[in-house]
Amino acid sequence: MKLVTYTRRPGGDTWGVYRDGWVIDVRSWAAASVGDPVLPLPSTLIELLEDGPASLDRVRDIAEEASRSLRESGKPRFMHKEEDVVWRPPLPRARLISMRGNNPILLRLDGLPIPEHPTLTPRHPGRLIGHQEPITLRREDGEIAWGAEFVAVVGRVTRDVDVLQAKDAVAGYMATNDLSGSCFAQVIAPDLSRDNYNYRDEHFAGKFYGTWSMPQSVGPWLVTADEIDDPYHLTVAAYENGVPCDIVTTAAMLFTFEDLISFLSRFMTLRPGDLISSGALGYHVINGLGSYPSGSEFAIEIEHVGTLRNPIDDRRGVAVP
Amino acid sequence: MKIARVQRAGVGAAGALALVTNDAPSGFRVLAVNERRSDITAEALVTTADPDEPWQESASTYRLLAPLAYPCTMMEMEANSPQQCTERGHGVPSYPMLTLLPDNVINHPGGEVVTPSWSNRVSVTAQIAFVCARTVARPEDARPDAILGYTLLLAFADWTLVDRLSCPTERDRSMNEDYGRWFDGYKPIGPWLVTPDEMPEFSEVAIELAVGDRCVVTRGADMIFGPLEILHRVSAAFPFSAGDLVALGAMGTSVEVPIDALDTGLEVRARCDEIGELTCTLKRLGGLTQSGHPAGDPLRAGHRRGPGGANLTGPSHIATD
Repeated sequence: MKLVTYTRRPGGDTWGVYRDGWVIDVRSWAAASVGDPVLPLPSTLIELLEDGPASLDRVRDIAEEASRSLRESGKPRFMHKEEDVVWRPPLPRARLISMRGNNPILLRLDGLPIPEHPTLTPRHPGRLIGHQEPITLRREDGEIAWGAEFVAVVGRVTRDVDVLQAKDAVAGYMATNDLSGSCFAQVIAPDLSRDNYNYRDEHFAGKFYGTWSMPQSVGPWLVTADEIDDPYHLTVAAYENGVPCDIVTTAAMLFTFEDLISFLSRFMTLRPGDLISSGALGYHVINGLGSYPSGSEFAIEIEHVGTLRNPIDDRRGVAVP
Repeated sequence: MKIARVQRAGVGAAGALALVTNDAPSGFRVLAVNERRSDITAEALVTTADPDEPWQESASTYRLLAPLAYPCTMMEMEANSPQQCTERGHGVPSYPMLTLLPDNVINHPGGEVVTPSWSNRVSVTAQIAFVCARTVARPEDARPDAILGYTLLLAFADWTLVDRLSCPTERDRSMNEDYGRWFDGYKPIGPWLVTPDEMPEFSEVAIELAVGDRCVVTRGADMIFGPLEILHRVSAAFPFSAGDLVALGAMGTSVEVPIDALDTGLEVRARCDEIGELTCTLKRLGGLTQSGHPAGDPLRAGHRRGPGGANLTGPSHIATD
């Protein structure tokens, strides 16, 4: 099942199920169903995850019923064509925690040591954008880097679990485009020469200010875990204007999601809706000003999950009003 | 004006917005409460002047909650005093070093901070934090009215994990240090927000931190980057939103917690004349298991190598002691 959060202007965010080009408004369907004795469905996907597997099963049944109704009557009921909705991050303002460099082969090629434990950094929760939302580039962003990452969604309150128990914590998966900009060198610390960065400067330049300054796109939807037989044998591809620039496999992951969730759960409570990113499995693409004019598009495709597309809105040459 | 989030004693309802005074023998007195608003934002405060809003003096007993807006992004300055830089082995930074805090760290005034059973090195600093009144999206937005109020924050850091993780380089150690700040409940915040008009120049502010028998005083005069300079410098990279909390970092030395005292509970207190007093009790959870490994030890089971690491040579496990 593919769970989405979307907006139909005017109006706020709501959620539904994506199927074959249609977004099913599950809550409205449930509310209108005569004789449905169950409580109303929650208003956000995070609350749905909190409700647990029984609510997910109910949503699955409603989506099946809606699809059957469309097939039989030819009339969509509480359904929107995908081009008629504005996609939002499936879990708006989620906590996204990302692994740093998780492909041992690339680490070796780069002469970096193979880490013995996960190295994770948080992304700014206010910077998440959804499928097809534009990535606005500002003058301060200068050079940007981007790349495909695979994300697991935590589905239950998870505290102090081992690796085997951690598997039960995963509710589903999605893709993310890990974008970072060069605002650190441009505006935060322009007086520092890049050649003289120490390790802390590198963190702030790349993982902290670098990613917080850029939109982090996630989606296109949350694919529930039951639809992915083996999350560690999936192809991940990154495309620039339709041209593939990186193709890797999740088999490359040094630390699995279960490793990462178990590690974090020893000292912090993970909650439904938390996003754990695989980190870079391939090389990030780095390009400078002018490489991505407005109308360019980044796409991240993950086998059995979907394709996350984001157009570029380049305002780097535009004076700030 | 002192703005608090309060919860009526014995009632499990969400917090309410309140105006308080600290002239009562019991510590504080609620002057006015608006049970329909729990969001600490400038917009919510404007409603204090609205006669239609149900502000009322209340005789009920309230407990203080962390004076935060939900959702909010929490950030903490590191290395914001020369003494902290020396303690941590950093040079004095030329730019504000702002890090993100996950919201599982939030704790309330008077709360219990519970360390994992395996903790054996914990330190604490007392900090001043501010909450943004509105969006600060560009440097020119960083004006005094961008700050809604100031509060205190006890910032515990757990070094146990960092000490035990393999850190082949200073770079790795630096990244690992962030984990020590992400532990559940390690950041009590409060007791309330004091509006800027009641705060003197930072150079005149002092915080007294008492940890058991030990007491240290740190001074705002030692702070490298003040609130408006942080907003000015960093908003060039990404926007601050209304309700965001920024902890200004330690203004001086950190205090090592006497670990033996955790089994019985240790009171930790921060006091600032202009803001008030924030206390918490630090205690340790559980004890050693029969196998001799602390329960929930993050390194106990080692970390299973993911599929990408299966054929690599090198260390195959992490030492547990």
